Amino acid sequence: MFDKNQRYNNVDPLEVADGVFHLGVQDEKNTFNNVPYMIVDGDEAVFIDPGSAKKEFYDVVLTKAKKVIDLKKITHLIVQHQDPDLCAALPLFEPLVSPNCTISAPLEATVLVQHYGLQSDVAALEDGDTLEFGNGRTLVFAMTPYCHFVGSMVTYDVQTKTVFSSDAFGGFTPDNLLWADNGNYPEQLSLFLGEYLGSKRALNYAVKRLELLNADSGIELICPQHGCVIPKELIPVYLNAAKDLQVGQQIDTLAKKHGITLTDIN
Amino acid sequence: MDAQKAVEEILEAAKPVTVTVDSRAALVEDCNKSGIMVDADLNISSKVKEEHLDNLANNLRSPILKMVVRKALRKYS
Repeated sequence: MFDKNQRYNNVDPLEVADGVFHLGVQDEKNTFNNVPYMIVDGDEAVFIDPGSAKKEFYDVVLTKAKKVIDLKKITHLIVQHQDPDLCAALPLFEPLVSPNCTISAPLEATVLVQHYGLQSDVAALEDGDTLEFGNGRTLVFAMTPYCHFVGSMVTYDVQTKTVFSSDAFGGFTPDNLLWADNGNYPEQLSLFLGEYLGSKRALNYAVKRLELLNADSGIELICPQHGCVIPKELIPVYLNAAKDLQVGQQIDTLAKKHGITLTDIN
Repeated sequence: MDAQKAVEEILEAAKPVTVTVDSRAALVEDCNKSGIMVDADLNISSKVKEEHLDNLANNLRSPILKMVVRKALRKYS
C-alpha cells in the first residue's frame, strides 16, 4: 500500500518498486518536474532518461544516483527520445559510469542524441528489443511513434511490471507529490499532453499498446518522466483520460489566425 | 467573446497547476496587474473585459499558465 501524500525531496532517491528508484527533481518555477529512474539488479544498473544538464537539476540527480549505487556499476544508459530535459546529462554521466556502458535510444532518436557531444556511439533500439540483466531480469522496449517524436518509446520491466512511459502520462506538477491521485493530476496530465502531443492517432496507438501490454503481462506502475507515478488502481483512470484527450489544437489556432484551411485527415 | 467566462475557465484550469503558495501568489499578482481582481482562491471580484484577457495573456509569467490561456482562448474566440 502506498502513501498517497508521500513527497520526494532533492536529496533522497525513492524506491517505488523492487529495485526501481525515482530520482526526481522538482521544477517549481515551471511546474515541469523532471524524473530520471534507475533500475538496480544485483551488481548492475540501468539508468533511464538521466535528465538535464542544467546544474540545479543535474546536481540533484547525481546526488541521488550515487546514493542508489556506485556509478561504475551502471551498465546501460537508456533514453526514450531525444529531448534535452532527459538527455542533456548523458555526456556528464558518460565518464562516471562503467567503461563498458552502452547508450541506447530509439533508432530515429540516435542521430539526434549523438549531438549532445557523447564519446560513445548510440545504439539503436527497435520495437520489441529487449535488454537482459546478468541474472535474467528483462526490459522490453515498445515504440510509441510520434508520441511525441517518431523515435519515442516506453520501457517495460518484466519483473516489477513497471512501464517507464517517458512523456506519455506526464503532467505539469507544481509540487513534489510522488503518486498520482484522482484530484489534481488528471487535469495536470491533460494540460501537458494536450499541448505537447500533435496527433490523436499517435496517442491512441500508445494507449492501445499499453492496454495490450496490460492484458498480456499486467502493468503495476506507470513511471512518467514528468509529474507523478501512477499506481495500478488508477491506471484505467489515466488510460481513459488519455483516450478522451484533445491534442494538436494549436495547429487549428494558427491555421485560423493565418486563414489556412486544413483537410482533416488525422 | 465572453471574457468573463473565459477568465473563469482559465482560473479553474489554473488551480491544479498553482497549488503551491508561491505559484498561486504569482498568478494572483499577474491577474491583478491585468485588471482582473482575484483573491487567493482565484474568485473574481471585478467585471472582466476583453482587454483584461489580452492583458492577462501578456502578463502571465508562467509558461504553463500561458498554455492554459491559449486553451481557453481556442474555445471562446
